[in-house]
Amino acid sequence: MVTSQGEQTLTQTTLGLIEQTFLGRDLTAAYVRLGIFVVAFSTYWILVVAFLGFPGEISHLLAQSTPAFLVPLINIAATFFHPRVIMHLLPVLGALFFAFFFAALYIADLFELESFWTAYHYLLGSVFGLGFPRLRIDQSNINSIDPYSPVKRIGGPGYVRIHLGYAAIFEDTNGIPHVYGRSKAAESTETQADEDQLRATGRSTFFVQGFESLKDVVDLRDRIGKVDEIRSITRDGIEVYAREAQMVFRVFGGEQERSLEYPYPYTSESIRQLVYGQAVGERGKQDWAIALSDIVQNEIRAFVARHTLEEFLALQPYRHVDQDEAPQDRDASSSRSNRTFQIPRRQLTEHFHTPVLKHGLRDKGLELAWVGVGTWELRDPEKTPRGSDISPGDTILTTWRDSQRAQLYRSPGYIKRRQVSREKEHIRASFESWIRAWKGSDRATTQRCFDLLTQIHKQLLAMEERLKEEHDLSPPEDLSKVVQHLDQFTRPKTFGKD
Amino acid sequence: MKENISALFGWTLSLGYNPNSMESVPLYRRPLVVATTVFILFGALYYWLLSSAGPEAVPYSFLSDFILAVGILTLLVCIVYTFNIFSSASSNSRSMLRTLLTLAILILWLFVHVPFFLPGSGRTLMRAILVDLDFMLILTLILLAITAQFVLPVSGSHQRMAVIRRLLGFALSERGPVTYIRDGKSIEAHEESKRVGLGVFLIDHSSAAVLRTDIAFTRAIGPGVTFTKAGERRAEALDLRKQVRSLQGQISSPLESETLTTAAITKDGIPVAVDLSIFFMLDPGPATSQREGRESQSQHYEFNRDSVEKAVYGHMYGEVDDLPWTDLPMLLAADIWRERVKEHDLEDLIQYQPDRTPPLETLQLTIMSRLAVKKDLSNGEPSATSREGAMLQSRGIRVLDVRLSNLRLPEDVQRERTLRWRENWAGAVQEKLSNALDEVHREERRGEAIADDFMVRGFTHSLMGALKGGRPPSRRDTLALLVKDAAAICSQDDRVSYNQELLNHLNQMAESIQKLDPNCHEKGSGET
Repeated sequence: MVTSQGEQTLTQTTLGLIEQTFLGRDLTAAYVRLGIFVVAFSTYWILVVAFLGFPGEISHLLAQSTPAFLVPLINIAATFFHPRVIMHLLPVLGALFFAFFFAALYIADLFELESFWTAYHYLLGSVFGLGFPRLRIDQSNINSIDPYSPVKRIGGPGYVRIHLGYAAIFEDTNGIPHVYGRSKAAESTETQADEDQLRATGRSTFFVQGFESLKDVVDLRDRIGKVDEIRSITRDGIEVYAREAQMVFRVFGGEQERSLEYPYPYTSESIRQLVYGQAVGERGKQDWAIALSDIVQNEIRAFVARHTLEEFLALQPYRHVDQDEAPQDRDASSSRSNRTFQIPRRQLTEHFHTPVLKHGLRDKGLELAWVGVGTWELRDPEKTPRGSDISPGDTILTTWRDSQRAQLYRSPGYIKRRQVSREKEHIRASFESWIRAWKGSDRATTQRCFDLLTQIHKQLLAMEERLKEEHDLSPPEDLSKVVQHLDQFTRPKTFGKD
Repeated sequence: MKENISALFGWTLSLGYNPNSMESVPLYRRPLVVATTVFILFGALYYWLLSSAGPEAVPYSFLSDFILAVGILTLLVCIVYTFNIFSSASSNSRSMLRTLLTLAILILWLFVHVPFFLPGSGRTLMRAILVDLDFMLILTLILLAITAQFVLPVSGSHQRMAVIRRLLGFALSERGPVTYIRDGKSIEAHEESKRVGLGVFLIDHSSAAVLRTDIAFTRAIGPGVTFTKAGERRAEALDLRKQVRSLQGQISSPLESETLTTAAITKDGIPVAVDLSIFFMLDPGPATSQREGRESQSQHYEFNRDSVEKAVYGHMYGEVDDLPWTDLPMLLAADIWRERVKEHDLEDLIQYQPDRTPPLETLQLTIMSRLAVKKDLSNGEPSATSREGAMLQSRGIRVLDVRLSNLRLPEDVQRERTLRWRENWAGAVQEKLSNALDEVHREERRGEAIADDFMVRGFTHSLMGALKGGRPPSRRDTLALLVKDAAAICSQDDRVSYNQELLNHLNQMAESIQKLDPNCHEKGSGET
C-alpha cells in the first residue's frame, strides 16, 4: 500500500516535471520545445532522405570536375534539398503554419484583438521562445501603452522594460501580484515584497512568465495634484470655496533615502496597496492621483466644518475697534480687503501631517510631501444682487471698511482735524454767502445792499442762537445792539405810518 | 437567403474571426488573405517540386498507405465532429452555413481517397498529393493540440484536453462563446453571447461571472479558465473589487429629477441635499476581510460563489431600466438618508456643538448601521439588522462605508443663515462706526460754534464800537464796517481756508460800498 502510494507520488512528480519542462510557460520550457521541434524536424528530414533512397546523387562527370573535398558536401546537399525530399517537408511547415494560424485566430477571438498578428506574435514567443514580445512602460496611463503589444493585451511571456519613474504590477495565473520596477535592494528578504525588490534591484528589463498580465502602472515620481475648487461649509453654515488647492505626493517609499541612483524609492507593498486598495467608480477605476485629491478634499471639508467663519478670518475688525488699537499693518490689512480670506493655514497644513492621516495615507500606499491650501473665497449666491448687503463677500468687504472708518473716526487727531476744518469751512461758507448776496444777482445796488444786510442779520441771529446752546461759549454782550441796528435796515417799511 | 449568402461571404473574408473588429485592418493583414496567400504559395511550390520530382514522388509503400489510412480515419472523425456541430448550430443560419461548408470540404476530401482503394488505381500524382495532404492534416491536428496548451492558461489533463477540443472545434467552424472578462467587464464580439457551441471563459482575478442557458442559470464562475457546455453563455459579468458610488447633492424635488438624488425634506419641511458616497463590494465571505494589497502571496479579491450568484439573480428589471447590483446600495442609502432627515428639524442638522458628534456624522453612522451586516453571536452567521441590510445580504453585497458631506440648503435658507452670520460678524462694527460718526459730527458742530464765536466777535467789532460811541452809522457805513472786518478776518491764514480769493472779493465789495451814498444809492442816481 505504501509502495503503491510512493509509486503514485513518483509518477505524479515525473508527470509534473515533464509537463513543466515540455508545456511550461517560462523561458526554459520555450527553448526546450524549440529544441525538440528542431530535433524532430531534422530527424524527419533525414528519415525522408533515407526512405526515398538518398536521391539526387551528383553525376560522375560533375564529381570529377569538382574538388574532391567538396564532392561529399555537394552530394549531401543535393540529397537533402532534392525536390522529392523538399516536397515532403512542405506538409510539416504547412501544418505548423495552419496550427498556429487557427490558434492565433482563437486567441484573437478570445481577447478581441484588432489584428491576429498580435496573437501570432504571442504564440511564436509562447511556444518556441522566438521573438518574445517586448512592452515598454513609460507612462502611467495603462490605456495609452502600446495597444498592439501581446504582453499588454494577452500577457506574458515577454519582456517588459520599465522606464525611470514607473513601476508596474503584473498578476500571474494564480492571481499573485508581482511588482516590477527599478529598485534598491530591500534590507530583508523574508517577504515576497522584498523578493520582488531584490529581483528588481538595479534592473529595468524583466521577463514576465506566460499569461502574467499587466494589472496597472504606477508613476513613482513626485506628483503635483490640483483641485480647482472645493466647496465647504463652515460651522456657522457659510459656504466657502477653496480654489487651486495643490498637493505634492508620491508613492510611499518607507525609510529608503532618495539618491541620484535610486531617485524614486518605493515598497512593493505600497504599490500593491495603491493598485488594489482603490475603489472602482461608475466609470471604472480612478487615477490614484484623483483618489488622493478626494482625500485632501474630504479633509479640508472636515476641517472647515469644525470652524466658524470668524475663526478663519485673520482680521477681526471689531477687536481693533474695541481695544482702540490702530491696525498694525495697513498694507497687509488692505490686501485682505477683497473677498478672499485667510484660514489658519498653518493649522490646516499641519493637519495633513498628523500621524493619523499619515498612517491613513500610508495604508493607501501614499506619502504626502506638501499641501497648499490655496485661496479661499466667499461667493455670493447667484440670486443675490451684486453689492447686496447680505452677500458674505460684500459683508466681509464692507465690515472691514467700516471697522477701519470707525477706528479713524475715533482717533483724537482726526476729530480735531475735522473740527478745525469744519471751523474754517464754516467761516468761509459764511462769507461766501455774503459775496453771493452782493454779486450773485443783477438787482439794483440798493436792493443788493438790502439783501446783504438781511443775510448778515440772519447769520447773526443764527450765531447768537448757536452760541447760546454751547455751554462754554456765549454771544458778545453788545450783539443785541448790533442786531437791533441791522434790524432797522432790514425791517420792511410800513407805509402810512409815522 | 441573400442574407445568408452575405453572412457566409463575410465569414469567408474574415475566416470566422470577429469581422466587426477587422474594419481597420488592411486587406493584406487579414487572416483569410494571409491563409489564402500562404496556401497558394505552398501549392505553387509543391507543384513545382512535384513536377521536378517526377512520377515516383511518393513510392507505393506501407508508410504511404498507413498515412492514407490514418488520414481517412482523421477525416471521418472530423466529419462526425463537424456533423455534431452542425446539429447543435441549427438555430443560427450563419453557423449552419459555415459548418455545412466545412462539412462539404471534408466529405469531398474523404471521397477523393476512394479511387486509390479501388483495384487498378494508378493515378500516382494525385496519390502523392493526397498522401502529403493527409500527412499535413494529421500533423496540423497534432500541432494544434500542442499549440492549444498556450492559447489559455490551462493546467491539468482535464483542462488540457478541453482546450484541445475547443481549438479543434474552432478549426472545424464550431463557434461557442469565447469571452475574456477583465475588471468585471466582458470583452466579447458582437453577438458573441448568442453563440451556442462549446465555449470558454477566461476571467481575470478581479472578476467573476454567472452562466446561463436559455432556461436556467447554470453556475457561478470565478477567476481562471472555465470551459462551457453547448448552449451555456454569460448571464452577467461581475466586478469583485471594492466599488464606490457617489451622488452630488442637488436640491430638487424628486418629481423634477428623473435620476436618483439625495434631495430630502426635513421635519420642518425644508428641502436639503447632501453629497453621498457609498463603498461596497460583493461579499467575500464571512471570514474574509479586505486585503487591499497588504498580502503578497494571495489573490487580492475573494471569489465567493454564493454572493456572486445572489448578485445575479437579485438583478432587478423594470419596464425601461434595470437595476444592477452596483446601483442598489446607493438607492437604499439615499432612501435611508431621506427617512432619517425627516426626523430632524433643519436646526438639528446645521447646529454644531463642540461636545457633540456633528449631525451629518450621526446620520452617517445610522445609515451605515442600517446597511451593514453583523455577525450573529448565536450561530456566528452574518445577519442583517434591518430590512435594507437583509436586502443587500440577499443580493450578496457588503457595504463597507458610507460618507455624507456638504450639506446643501435652499438658497433662501442659505441667505437667512448668511444674514444671521452677518449680524454676528458685522453688527458690532456697525454700532461702533455709528457711534464714531456721531462723535465726529458733534465735533464738527462744535467747530462751527467756535467759528461763529470768532466771526461774531470779529466782523461786528467796528460796528459795535461805532454803536457804543452813540453814533449809529448809516446803512452804507454799517455795511462797509461789517465787510471790512470780515476782510480782516479773512486775512488771517489760519482761520479761513483758501482765504485770498475771499479776501479779494470782500475788498472789492468794500470799495463798491464806499462809492455809494449813505443810503446805499448810487451817487448821482437821484434816489433818496
